[in-house]
Amino acid sequence: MKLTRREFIKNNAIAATAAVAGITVPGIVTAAHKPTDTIKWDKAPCRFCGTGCSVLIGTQNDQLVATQGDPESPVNRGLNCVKGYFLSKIMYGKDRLTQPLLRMTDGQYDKEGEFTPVSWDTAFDVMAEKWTFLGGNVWLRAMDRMGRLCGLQII
Amino acid sequence: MNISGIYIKTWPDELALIQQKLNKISGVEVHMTTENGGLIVTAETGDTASMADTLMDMQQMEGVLSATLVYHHDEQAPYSELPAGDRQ
Ligand code: SF4
Repeated sequence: MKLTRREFIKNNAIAATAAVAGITVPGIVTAAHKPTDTIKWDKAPCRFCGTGCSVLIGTQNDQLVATQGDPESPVNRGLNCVKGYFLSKIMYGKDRLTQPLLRMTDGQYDKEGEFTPVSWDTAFDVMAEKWTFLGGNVWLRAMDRMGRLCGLQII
Repeated sequence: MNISGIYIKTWPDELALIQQKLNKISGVEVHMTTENGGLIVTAETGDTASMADTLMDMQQMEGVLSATLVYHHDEQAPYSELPAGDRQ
């Protein structure tokens, strides 16, 4: 049976969904039967919340094209929530930030200014300057707070 | 091209009705049903935003207990080759 690429992808979607429901669909030709398919599958944890569901990530020509809950993960058993499925695709969002922005007025940092693109060097210089300004103790406390939020701990 | 696999649960006695309603949504197909009220569904939309809307419509459909995305495929030209306005 000759399958169009669209039918083939749809078959993968059907097979994955049926597997979650605990059934197999007769007559479905999927990636498992066609190793020449160009999608490369890898595993990644979803970073959106603390559950850390395992996600199968399909890439093609270095571009992410498909996601599927990892059926072998004991945490999520083949399911993700909608954030887990769409999260990886934010890389291609047109409104994604790709360079540092600094609030500026007339070329100078200004808390009330407009976000303006700056170089990474400028961004780090301004950050370093602000951290130093905060002073040792406050700096440590702030870092500790931030570390806890990110699941890290300052030793 | 956005294609998703979605697993829907409903009450077994509402299954036929839900199947009818789902088949009426453009791009949506029911491929299999199970005795305990499960439906294996695919949806096809032009972009990811309309896929999220379609999923939301299914979740809010009366009689649907849950609509869970299982597989999502989002194929477009490589990012670098898209015109700036289409990079989403
Ligand atoms: S898929 Fe959903 S529940 Fe799982 S880690 Fe990501 S956000 Fe959390």
